Amino acid sequence: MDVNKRYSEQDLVENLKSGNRLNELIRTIYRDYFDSLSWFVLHNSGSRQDAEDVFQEVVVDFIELVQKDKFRGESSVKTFLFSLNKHIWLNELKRKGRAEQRELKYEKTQDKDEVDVSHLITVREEKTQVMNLVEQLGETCKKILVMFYYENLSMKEILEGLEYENEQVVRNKKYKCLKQLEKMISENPLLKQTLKSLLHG
Amino acid sequence: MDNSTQENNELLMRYLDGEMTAAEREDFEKKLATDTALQTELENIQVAKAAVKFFGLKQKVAAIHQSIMEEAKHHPPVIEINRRRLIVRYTVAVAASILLLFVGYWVYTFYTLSPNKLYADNYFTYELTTSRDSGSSQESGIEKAYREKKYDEVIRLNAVSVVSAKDIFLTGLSYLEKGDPSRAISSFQVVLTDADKTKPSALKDETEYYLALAYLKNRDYDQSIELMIQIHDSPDHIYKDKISGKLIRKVKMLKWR
Repeated sequence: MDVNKRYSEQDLVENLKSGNRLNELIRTIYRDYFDSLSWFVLHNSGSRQDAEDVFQEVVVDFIELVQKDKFRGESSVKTFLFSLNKHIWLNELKRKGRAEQRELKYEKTQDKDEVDVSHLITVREEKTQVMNLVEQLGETCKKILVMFYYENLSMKEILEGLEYENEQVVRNKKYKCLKQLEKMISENPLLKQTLKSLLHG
Repeated sequence: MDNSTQENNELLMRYLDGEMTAAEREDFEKKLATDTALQTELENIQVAKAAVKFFGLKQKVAAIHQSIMEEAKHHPPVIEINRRRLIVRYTVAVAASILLLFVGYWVYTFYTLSPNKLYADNYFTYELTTSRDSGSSQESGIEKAYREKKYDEVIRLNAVSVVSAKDIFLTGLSYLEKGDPSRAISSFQVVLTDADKTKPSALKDETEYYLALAYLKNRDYDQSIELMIQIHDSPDHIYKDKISGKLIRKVKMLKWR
């Protein structure tokens, strides 16, 4: 893996969209933007941990938006990431009840190049709800579902990493796991609605 | 779970996973269009799939984040500056500081310097020796008055009597004491002219020194500088040590102002 490789913005976006070399691209985003984006949080009442948490969210949101074709290059990647970072952190400050402080700093950090991302991202609580929901599944369920639906591995590849007799057993397990998750969602209409808006944008 | 529900679930899963043939897909979509329960079921399962995808991405980013932070902890980013660059950097910093101090001192000196101050710093009252240069025990009235610091009397006597070169020199000094550099200059010039005409005067060095100071106080900087350089560059001049290069530079500064 060449973590030192330099990507043009266009290459970065195209590769993110296709999901190619995702690990390498995420490392590239960290290398190129973590320090400058963390600076904003650290200088706006945030701790180092806050800066790290916000940046993780920025990376996840950015990849999601690119893959849903909602980042179309109207601004540079840097400006877009900065705007995401700022918006996420100001939301978090607001949530923590530091609205007054937020206003003060917000005025000071107005940026001409900033883009409005408020309509593109959801607040942390909703993302946390999704995470908690999936976390409630057993470890094997999570592993199978992630390998199949996120990593796009075949049943044969999944079988290699698990102690099951054959692909059909894995297939049945995957089916049960997804149904279990679907049941958890359908039992909570409010959560379902949140998830629909969050996950489908 | 009845057979129909099981069948629907299997169809849903195959549809979701893209495992249907084109014909199967077409049939399923026809069924889906009219079966609201099936639509709801599909929607739920699509949301579940999307939740898994989100979870997967978040997990991946978290794992890479963790790994990067661990790496940073064990190998903190060191700004590697090689030794030579470090030396150059410090040398430049020191040189810049010295330059700043020098410029600051120069600016301070330049703006606080005045001819009167420089004159006062270098002027000292000429003291007559007890033994007379001529060897005579007779002391002139001017000498006596000068010794008693009666400078007005020196000037008055100079105007009404026939005087020696020494008396004229003392008169020039008295004019300086009285704050009249212009007349002092005239007196010293007479002493030097007479000395040139006859023989080297014993008072030549003293006269040149006080003349240089008189020029300075009178703001005749060019003449003062010329004379100071002459004194400074004469190895045998008795006032050589009193005219330093620094003093000459300061007079030059006054000239630039």
